[in-house]
Amino acid sequence: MEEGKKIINIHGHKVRVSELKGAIKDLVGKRGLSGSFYVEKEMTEAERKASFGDDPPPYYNVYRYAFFE
Amino acid sequence: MNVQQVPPTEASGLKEWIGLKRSDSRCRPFAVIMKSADRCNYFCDYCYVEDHCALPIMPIATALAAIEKVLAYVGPRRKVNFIWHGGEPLLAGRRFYQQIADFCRQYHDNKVEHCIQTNGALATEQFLDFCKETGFTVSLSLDGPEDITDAHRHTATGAATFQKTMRTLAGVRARGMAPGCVCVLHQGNAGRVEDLYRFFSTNRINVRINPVVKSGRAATAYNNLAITPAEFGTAMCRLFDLWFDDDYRIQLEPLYTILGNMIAPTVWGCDYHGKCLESIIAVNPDGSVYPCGRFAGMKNFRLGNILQDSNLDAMFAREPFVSLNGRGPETVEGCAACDFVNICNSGCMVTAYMARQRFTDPDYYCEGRRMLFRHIANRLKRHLENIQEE
Repeated sequence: MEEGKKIINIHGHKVRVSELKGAIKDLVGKRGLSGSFYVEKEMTEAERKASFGDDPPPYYNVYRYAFFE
Repeated sequence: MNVQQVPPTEASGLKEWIGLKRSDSRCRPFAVIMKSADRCNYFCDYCYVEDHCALPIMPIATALAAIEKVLAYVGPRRKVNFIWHGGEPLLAGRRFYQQIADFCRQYHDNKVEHCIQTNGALATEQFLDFCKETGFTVSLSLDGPEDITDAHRHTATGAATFQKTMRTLAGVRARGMAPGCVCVLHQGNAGRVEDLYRFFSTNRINVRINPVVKSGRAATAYNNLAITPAEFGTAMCRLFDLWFDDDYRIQLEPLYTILGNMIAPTVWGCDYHGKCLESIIAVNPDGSVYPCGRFAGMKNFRLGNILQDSNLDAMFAREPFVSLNGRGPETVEGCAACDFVNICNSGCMVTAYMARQRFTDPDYYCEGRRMLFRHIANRLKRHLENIQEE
């Protein structure tokens, strides 16, 4: 599906991904959210490479430090 | 410091809206705070490092033993972040990190990442080249614009540090690495969040905001640094609005993580998911192991020694780990009934303990966290309602 027409369900709201605020749009990609918000996948290395190129970034920041992608 | 109040029961329906979350800690990376140096070339007013280790620099043999034992415990499937920390970790020297990188090449089947949390003063061009070549990620420290940063981040003689940090940051950026910073929120900048946001956004610097913790040197200067939980909440709510409305120019933590935790089924962030003890340890230069970098050096919380104990399982099976690991919404007063329990999980045990030496207290910033959670939830709900398809 075209990115602009992709629909996602977040907390019962069916919303077009292209209309989401930038931070949420980014989260949809980074956390692998699709379809229902209940679907969250851990990306395989191949998927991460497909999303981010040959130099997949580390996990996004999860500690009190500031290591960003 | 204010005495922490037990939060009142919430009844806004947000608990049901946020929903239950997955709690399997194995889906998160395992972090090892490696205190490669327990001395620092700076003398920041709010440094939280507690009692210093007798050994100022970690011997390479200790570092390699720690890596070996951690990877044996974690296994090949789960990612491990080795976070080289201090003090100032670059006091250990480039050769130390080159040996680390060389040693880790044998673990090509493991998912290993290295990060350095540094003030940047000793980051030479050669060191940054090394980071680029080996994939070591660099995080710096800045509290915002020059006048704010230099007010509390200085050398022992009082020399300013902002310009040096910015030069290092430019060196990081020039090598194609994402510049990231930690910013301590304190009395000097909590009332200037517009200036903070403008600075980081204009300079395209990803930033993590950490409120000041009453520990180490910060405890001595606390009257001049402390912010109340409500001041923390007010500043962070304003920061969220600036950031959310700016259409994601920078990654701003922990706002990005909190927003993600609200919409995704897994909670991330060591002070949000409630399983920090299953996800983090800290190793001091002498090999002593602690449950978190913020407990490092505090004898009551020493779990063992990486050179003497046979493995991590043994340390995790005894006190004080077992008692600490029991802290959570069931044992912390007021948490179970809170609207935000599923994305907060009683917050950070270090901030709770540092305030009143009680693990049954909620996170010291509990009131501010609830303000922020509610603000983000309400803004998210309004946004989703406004763009909902028919």
